[in-house]
Parts: sequence; structure tokens; C-alpha cells
Amino acid sequence: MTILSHILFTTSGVKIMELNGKELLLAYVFGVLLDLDHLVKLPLYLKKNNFKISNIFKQSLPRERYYNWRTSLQEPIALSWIIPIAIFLNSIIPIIFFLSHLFLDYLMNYRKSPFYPLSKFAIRGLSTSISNKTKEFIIIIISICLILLHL
Amino acid sequence: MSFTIGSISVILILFKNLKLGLLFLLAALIFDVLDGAVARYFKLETKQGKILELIFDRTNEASLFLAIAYVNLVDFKTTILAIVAILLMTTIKDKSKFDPGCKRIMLFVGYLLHNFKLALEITFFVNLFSFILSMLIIEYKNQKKIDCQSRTCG
Repeated sequence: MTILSHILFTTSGVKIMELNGKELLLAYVFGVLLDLDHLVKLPLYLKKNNFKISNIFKQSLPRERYYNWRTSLQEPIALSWIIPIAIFLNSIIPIIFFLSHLFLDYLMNYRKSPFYPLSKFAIRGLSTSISNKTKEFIIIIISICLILLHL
Repeated sequence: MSFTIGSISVILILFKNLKLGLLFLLAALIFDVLDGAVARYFKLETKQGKILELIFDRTNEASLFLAIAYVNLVDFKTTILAIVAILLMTTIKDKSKFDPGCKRIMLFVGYLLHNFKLALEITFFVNLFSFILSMLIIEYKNQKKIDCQSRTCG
């Protein structure tokens, strides 16, 4: 899902649970900032599309659809390191907000490898008959409603 | 040899003889390095030997950390977390070829700082971060291969 949906969904969770301080920070780190892992594949994406940083003002950014930006940092296998962190911090927030991030991503129809690099098993998202745009629209509307209800 | 000396070190720590225990641990680490060097020099390395060494090393580390916790130098929660982080890192270190080596040696840091809790917390974070980094390294290498295949590069 797009970063906007993750931000709205996490914010609705933050409002419902009335989080603040350290827990608020953890919620956004595990609910939204995990998406920064896409940056790992950015150099490869640019190289694949013959884009040079020196041409940033001359050339438009490549727009390849269906490029696999995902890394195992936002797959269920990441729970193997998120659970120890949650135990160390004595907080369930990292697990809850990571699961919410995972839920949104697994709603989408693109390919996912839940246990990579330990297993190459791959699946599509939930309810693949519904388009990604429709799902995202529903999530955004629900999140906005929840935020407004808890203002 | 290294495992036997390491086990003596565990027993000594359990009997609260920390200094002697750490001396034996130092000997175990030296033997560990020598073991590997001799095997490489005489080309005696086998896959089974590597697996066995890995099992012995992890068992020795876990028992040393638990012994330190048993004599109340650190709490069990931190100890278990450090062991879990090391095990996680071990599961993929062969694929990523990345190992920070921050394990038994940290007990000397704990002794020098008089703070075993801090030493095991560092062990936990270094190994957990290495695990995350290893996952990303594998992911990057794999994506590079896929991109390369789609562009049919050499």
C-alpha cells in the first residue's frame, strides 16, 4: 500500500489506543517507517532503468510498474527480530503496528514472499478479485473516519 | 578441544570462579582460532566439521551466557535475548557471508566494565542488527541477479 494509507491507518491506531511519548514513536516506526526499506533497492531500480543521478534535472524519473520494491523487513519473517525488540522494550506496540502494516500490504494483490530468505514460498494478497485501488480507497476512508471519531 | 575447555570455563563460572573461568574462555577462543587455521592449512575442512563447529560454538556461548545469569551477574531476560539474536544471525550468515563476531568475546568486555548486562545488551543489538542487515544483503543480491537476468547482462 502507499505511504499515505500507512500513515492514516497508523494514525487511527494511535488515536484509538491514545498513545504518546515513546509508544507513539514506536507506532510510527513500525507502522510507517518500515517502508524506508525500499531505499535499499533504489540503486538497483535506477540502474535497471539506465537512470544516472547526474542527469536528475535533465531526465525524468523512471516509472516501471510492478518492480519488486519489497524486502523481508516487511514480511512476517521480520517478526523474528521485532518480537525480541518488543520484549527488550517491554512494549507490545512494535508487534501491533507491524502487524497492522503487514495487514495493509497483504491486502494488496502483488506477489509476496512471507518467509524469504529462509523459504522462497510466495503468495498473492487477500481477496485478489478486488482491485488494489478499491482496497486502498476503502482503507483510507475507514482510517479517516476512525481518526475523526477519536479527535 | 575448544569446546572442552569452553565447558570447563562454564563450570568454573557456575562455581563463581569468574576470573579463572574467563581465563579458560580465553584459552578456548585461542584453540578455536587454531582449530580452524590448522584445518584450513592441512585442507581438512569438511561440511560436517563446519556444522559441528557451529553447534559446539553456539552451545558453548549459550551455556556461558546462562552461567553468567545463573550467578546473578545479569538477568535471564537479557541473556535469552542475546542468545536468540546470535541464533537468528547464525541462521543466515552463510548466505549473507556477514558475521560481526560479537559473541563470547563480549564477556571480557562485561568483566572489564564490571557490567555484564551492558555487554549482553550490546551483544543482543549487534547480532540483531546484523541479522537485519544480512537479510537486506541477501535481498539486494537476489534482486540484482533478477534485474541482471531481465536485462540479460553478463
